Amino acid sequence: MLRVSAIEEYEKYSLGKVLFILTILLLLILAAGIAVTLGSYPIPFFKVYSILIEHPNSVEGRIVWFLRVPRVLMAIIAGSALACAGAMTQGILRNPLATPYTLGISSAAGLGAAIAILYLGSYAVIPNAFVFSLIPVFVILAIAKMRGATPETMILAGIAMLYIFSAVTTLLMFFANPEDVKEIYFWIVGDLGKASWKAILPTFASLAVCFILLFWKTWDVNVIMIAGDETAKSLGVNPERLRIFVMLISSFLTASIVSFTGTIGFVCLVAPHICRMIIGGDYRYLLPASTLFGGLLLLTCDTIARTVMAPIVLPVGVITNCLGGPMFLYLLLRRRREYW
Amino acid sequence: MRIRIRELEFEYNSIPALKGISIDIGEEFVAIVGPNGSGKTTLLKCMCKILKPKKGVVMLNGRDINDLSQMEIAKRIGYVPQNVSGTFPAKVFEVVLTGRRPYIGWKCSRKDLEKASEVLRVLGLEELAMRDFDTLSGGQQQKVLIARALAQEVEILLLDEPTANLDLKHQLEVMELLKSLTRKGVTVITAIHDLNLASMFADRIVMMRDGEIFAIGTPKDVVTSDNVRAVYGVEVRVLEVDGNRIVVPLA
Repeated sequence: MLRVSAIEEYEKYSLGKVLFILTILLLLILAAGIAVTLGSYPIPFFKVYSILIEHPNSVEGRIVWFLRVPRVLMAIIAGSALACAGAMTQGILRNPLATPYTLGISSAAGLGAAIAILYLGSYAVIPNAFVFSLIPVFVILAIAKMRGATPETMILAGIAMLYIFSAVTTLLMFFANPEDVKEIYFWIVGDLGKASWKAILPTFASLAVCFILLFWKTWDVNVIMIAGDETAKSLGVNPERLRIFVMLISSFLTASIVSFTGTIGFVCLVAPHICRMIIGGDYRYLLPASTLFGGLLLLTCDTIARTVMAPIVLPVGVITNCLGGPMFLYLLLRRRREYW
Repeated sequence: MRIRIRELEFEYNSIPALKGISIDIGEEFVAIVGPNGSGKTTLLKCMCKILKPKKGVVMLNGRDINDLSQMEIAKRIGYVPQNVSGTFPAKVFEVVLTGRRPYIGWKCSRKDLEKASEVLRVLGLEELAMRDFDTLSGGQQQKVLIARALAQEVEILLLDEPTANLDLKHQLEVMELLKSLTRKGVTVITAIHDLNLASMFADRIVMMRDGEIFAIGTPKDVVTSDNVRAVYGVEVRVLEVDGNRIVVPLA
């Protein structure tokens, strides 16, 4: 009898995961290539590519170069960053519902944006949202220092923060004039319409640095997920320190995206789950897979949001929820084994 | 002496759990017995720095474990927990591979894969390598957790009731496996409820009561009807069958 050794089986299994990641990468490139050719202003497919090469200073040239390309890139960066942060947060908090938003980041950013819109002027929206979104992180950090960085403490503290910040935002909106309320509301829903070259560089830099830092910790996340906190210690991993490190990096990454785009939801929850159902929970593969898949998902949704009712551009958050929700339910019903 | 414990004290929210434990353990098979809440698990966890004692020292090969990093301890002491529930779906091979964490920097090497595979082969678990851990039987899961500790290449193995929830055959299999490890020079320290199994396999038995060591010595010296009455409050007769001590509770 020909016996396949455990190593060979395992390597075959790992190879499958690598192929999945490469497939997603390929699809992402393909989707980006198609997305730049679509939009409410009709420009023929090949014309778009000649524009990309030649950079003409025509109306079409400017539409492609200053509207579509940054928007496509921003969709990829934002989707990737949110999915990356979401996957890690679910892991360290050992909770399938956890996202960076569970830690209060979204509502804090919302309050920061609201204050800027109401009192400071639009130039302050991005920095103010960013600064505010880091407040819950430091509050949770302080609580974790006092009471221990257990998943329960961190989630409950985050949820409490979420309610506090939303309440203050609601209060501000209650006394604001209708125009401002509308602006705040649209900010909170999240949108890629403000994508510009100026936003691409800082968000991409944040994604690249944070991804590397998080990827470095994927082994340890595997250990605390498979072994649990106590046994993880006996394997040389400090679960509390790991949890705080990952929370800080994921929160920073989320904050740097959300302050540009508003709180685009669901990608950070759904993308990691879909990948987990397909390739399993080993974070060494799950993290890159989720990151790329998040980019693909948000890009697809945004392209639909731009084209489905053109010239009206729907908020991308609406499409992610409408598409991601059913897709998620379908996979939940179809899965053959427990994956969480 | 591999492990030297002196005047070890531990409290859970100022309720004392260990009250001045001192033991020396060498290359041997030690069973820690005692009623629920007597401090067996706490003692094991203090030995590998999962818990930090309030007072006292644990010396590992002559060095205070407080001076060693968790990673350095993980290369010498393996811990096999009792409770395996609440873990995440993972392949058996992946579970065993986490035992290589102390040796893996960032990427696991060929050697790590080989070690994991070798351990699975030695324990007869190779066929299960790509099965989901949570679909295994209790006995198989227990063996996989022991396999992980072996993949850690440790000289000291701490186990928390490895035979709980196992049928008779698996209980004996696990105990025999542990015994064979002691023959290879591994120190095995296990918390265990079954006095008969403890007497059959252990070189020494530590009997605990209320966070203190009540008796320590060979099974013959420790497992006596007087000790069992004093520690468990149960009347028993201790018989000897084929050189093994058998504890029979009296109705």
